[in-house]
Amino acid sequence: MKPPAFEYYCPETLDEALGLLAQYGAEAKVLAGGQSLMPMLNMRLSHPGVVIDINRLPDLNRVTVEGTSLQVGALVRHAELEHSALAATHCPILPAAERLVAHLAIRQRGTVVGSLVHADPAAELPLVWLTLGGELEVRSTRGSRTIAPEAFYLGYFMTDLAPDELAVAVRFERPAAGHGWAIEEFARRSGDFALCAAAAVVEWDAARGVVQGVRLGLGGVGGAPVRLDQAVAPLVGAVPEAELVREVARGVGQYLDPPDDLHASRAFRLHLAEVLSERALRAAVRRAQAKEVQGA
Amino acid sequence: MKRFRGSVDKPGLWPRKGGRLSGRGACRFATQVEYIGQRRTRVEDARLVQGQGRYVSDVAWPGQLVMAVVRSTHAHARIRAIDGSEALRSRGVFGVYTARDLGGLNRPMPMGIVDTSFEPALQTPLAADKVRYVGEPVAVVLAEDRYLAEDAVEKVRVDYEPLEPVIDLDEAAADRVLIHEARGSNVLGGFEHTVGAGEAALATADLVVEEVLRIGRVSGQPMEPRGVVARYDAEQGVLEVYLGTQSAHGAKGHLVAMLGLPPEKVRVIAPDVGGGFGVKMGAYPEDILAAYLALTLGRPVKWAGDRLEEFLATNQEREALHRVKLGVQRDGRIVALVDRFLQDCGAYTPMGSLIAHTTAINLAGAYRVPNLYVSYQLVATNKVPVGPYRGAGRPQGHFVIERMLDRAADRLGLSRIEIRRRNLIPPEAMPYDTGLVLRTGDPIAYDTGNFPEGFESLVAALEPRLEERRRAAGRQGRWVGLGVANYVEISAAGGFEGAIVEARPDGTFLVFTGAAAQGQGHRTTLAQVVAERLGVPFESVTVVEGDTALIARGVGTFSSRTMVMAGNAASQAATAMRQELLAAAAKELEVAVEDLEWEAGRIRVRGVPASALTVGEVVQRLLQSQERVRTEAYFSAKGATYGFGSHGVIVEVDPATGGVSLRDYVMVHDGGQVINPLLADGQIIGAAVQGIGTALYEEIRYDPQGQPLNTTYLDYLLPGSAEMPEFELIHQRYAATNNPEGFKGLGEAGIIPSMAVVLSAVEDALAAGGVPAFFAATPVTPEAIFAAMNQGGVSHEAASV
Repeated sequence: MKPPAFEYYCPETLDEALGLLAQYGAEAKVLAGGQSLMPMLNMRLSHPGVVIDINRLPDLNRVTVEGTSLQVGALVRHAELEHSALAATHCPILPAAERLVAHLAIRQRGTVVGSLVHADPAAELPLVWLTLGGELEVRSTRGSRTIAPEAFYLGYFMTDLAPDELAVAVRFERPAAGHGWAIEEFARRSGDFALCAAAAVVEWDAARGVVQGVRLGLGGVGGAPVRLDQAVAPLVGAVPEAELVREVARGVGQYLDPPDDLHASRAFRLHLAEVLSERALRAAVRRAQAKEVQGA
Repeated sequence: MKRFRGSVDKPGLWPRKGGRLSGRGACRFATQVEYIGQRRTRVEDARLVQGQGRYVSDVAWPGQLVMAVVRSTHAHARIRAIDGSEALRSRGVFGVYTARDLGGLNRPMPMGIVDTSFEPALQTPLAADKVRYVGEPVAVVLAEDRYLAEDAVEKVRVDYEPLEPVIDLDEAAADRVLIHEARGSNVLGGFEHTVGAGEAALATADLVVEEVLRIGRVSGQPMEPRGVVARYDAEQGVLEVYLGTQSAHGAKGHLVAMLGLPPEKVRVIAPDVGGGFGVKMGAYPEDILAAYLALTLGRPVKWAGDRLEEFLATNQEREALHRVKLGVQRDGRIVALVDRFLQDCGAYTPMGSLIAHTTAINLAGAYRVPNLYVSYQLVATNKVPVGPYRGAGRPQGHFVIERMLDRAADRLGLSRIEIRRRNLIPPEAMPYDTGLVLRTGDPIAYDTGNFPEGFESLVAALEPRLEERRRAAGRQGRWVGLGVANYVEISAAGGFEGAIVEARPDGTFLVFTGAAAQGQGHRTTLAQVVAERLGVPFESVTVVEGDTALIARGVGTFSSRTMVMAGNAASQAATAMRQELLAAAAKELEVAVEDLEWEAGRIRVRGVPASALTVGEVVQRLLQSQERVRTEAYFSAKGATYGFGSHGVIVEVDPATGGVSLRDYVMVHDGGQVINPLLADGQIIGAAVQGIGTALYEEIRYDPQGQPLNTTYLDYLLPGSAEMPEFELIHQRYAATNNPEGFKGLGEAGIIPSMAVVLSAVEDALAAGGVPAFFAATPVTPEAIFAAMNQGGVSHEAASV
């Protein structure tokens, strides 16, 4: 469990980093927090010729509010987002999701953007990003572009990121003030990847007492997180009674294609998807309604 | 914030002063210092928690070569050819060695125990013609460092001719494909034993329950993987081997046998060892290979195994398939137990039939089983070899009887608590001969204890809490259940252990023993014994372990034996030392020994306070006419010690997800005379945690091709601290009768019933929710609970989300 030989670069500027990526392309791996890359190197599951350590790049370690988004730089650690006051105010689901990410030591070192681009289908952050919506800002010597989560995830550990591109920041769309949110997951042990996770965001129409908008995302049920806009459509404009929420949750299975693997069968994952969808939707509705009461 | 509430000493069982239970365990000296029985933190800790421990991987010699192992990627294959030429050209590589390069060394390695009950199948250091499990060593590379060695390992080309692998136990026993062709069968050995009328007695039972029980394969996973550093000291002509082992003397024996060196030319040192749990025993290929290469090349050779190798190449355990019948009367009394089981050996039998045999002699548990029949077959499969892991058959045997009692109770409509009440061996039956027999030939006769009293204290601690927990959880749609189980820990059966006490001129003492610790805290506990028996301050006693150069004979630390064996040896050596010092002082002070008093490190003439010598002064006088002041003692207990215990756990099941949360975990345990209750509690709790792992989380899984599927901590789930419940201990203290100090083994106690008790509690919770279930296999995963819910025909709507 020692990594194979590689060339190591530690660029001081973004241009330098992009130059290296342009030069080495698919031969190179970017090292940020290293919480996935280092084990893969040590187990020789990855044999990159070049490792580009971006930890010294300036200006990538900030959490900021940019218009309707919360922006997180590529060197922001999980623990920083977990304890970010801006995140707590504008996207409270993010700190909650971070508390489910691995263990304290890993959260101190691992990065938010690193988790997004690593694209583990059971990871919490890709799920929340997809549920909230937003975009990834990527740079290369060819220029810059943004990618939405829907277009970013292509399958197990596969993304739309080109070999010469560096993800420099992610933007999470801020839900409307007074929204309700929830993330519910089932993992074998505290800190494990979830067998299944559900994230929900509910915007509440206080005047009419109905759901104004709703988003539900599921993770761990396939090669990439899934957003179930169609399944939750019946809730929009409706009074979220327990029966309706349950019925909607029961319907998520038809949009999913989970695998059979070491940790859970397809049938069990489908079952968990329903259970956790219902729990997440109910909790998000409760939070939205509670805020209305608080506001009144 | 949480977790361990500390021990609850049952008052009355063990009077603190004066007449300790059973005269044989009594304090035979009127010393002013009492250390035996004292809760003390470990003298080991300050060093270890500050990172000052010295483990095998911390050992480095100038000119050292590092070894990495080319391991089989096939479960079953013939080796056509091995091409190491590219690896040899790799940067920093010193050599590549295959079976052919080893000559006469590459013969079967010795078994780790004496076992003449069958013809073993023993591994050679490197596979020569055939590989029999994924991970089997095929070649080794020596290089400047581990990185370069691993680079070269990737370049060794092994040409395999794949053979059909045999993974399943029943399939292996059918012998369609043979793993060791020369043996003609995959069944390598067998055993049977009958107590009373055996199986025939089933005919007289009112009810016979039959089950097929399966125990999953698990891995011991000490935090420090195995490792070895070998160095040939040409000047002394001594091969010096640093080894992460539970038995330095055992390892020395294997090296002497394999390398053909005289015993005095091999020194094995077990430095700090980071956990053993049974897997750091016996002869492993890497130990022999590193020592051989160091000797042959004249350069130090190091192999520091990594976590992956701990999964691929360190003995695993448990896996067995039991076909069981339990006959009971209508009132629940046991008539007969019949168990025929297949013990998975993996590809070889490095530790003989130890696990199967220990399983067999544990089948009666804490109960009267008047008629019993057990037979087992040792079955080879294309998996990692099986060797002892904490409990080594004790948990399996108890799993069988405890699961079957649950089953019988359910069928009889009797409570699971009541059926145990009706079968526990009563105190008046002590000593109770089970009709089972130790490998040594000694009968298994439980010596002391009050089983019903212990069990009732457990029930009394848990039953009221069950209702409370049910009310609270019911509001959240969770189901709550209670499981209980009893056990008897058979420990310290066979062998001996020694202790040397050496007095130093400053009045301090050194204690040498072969029974080195891997975390148990012997430097603390043995010092407590010696300090009390000598009558000197604890701080003046230093225990030195794990070096064959410092004590010629020793056995090692396993099978919950060290306090019984080394503890009594240390006690006797300390007593002899005291007598020697008193005699010397008497001579010096010109009085009779009877006229002397020993107090706080001073020896003085009774009634003449001015006429006194310190212990150090006495030692100094002795050293004027002798080289050393030493006493030594070797102790071998007759038969075994038997420690009773009960476990009970309350669990909460989330019926919607199959998630299990452990709430209250209570353990009653009889450790006899306990030397250090703090460390005893640690042993018992730690073992229970490992048992919970087997019950709920851990299992080494193989695909049909024999590829292991979970060889990282991402996929192989060890129990985490967040998942563990509150543990509460209730101590009983019935001194053992087979050793003067009355010590009983306890290192494996906590793991024995923990699998059975957790499964039982989960079933009880499901039953509370209206889902009848019986779990016949470990581990019980959320998936298994989901399946039970589906089978129980319970719509998940009933389970509130």
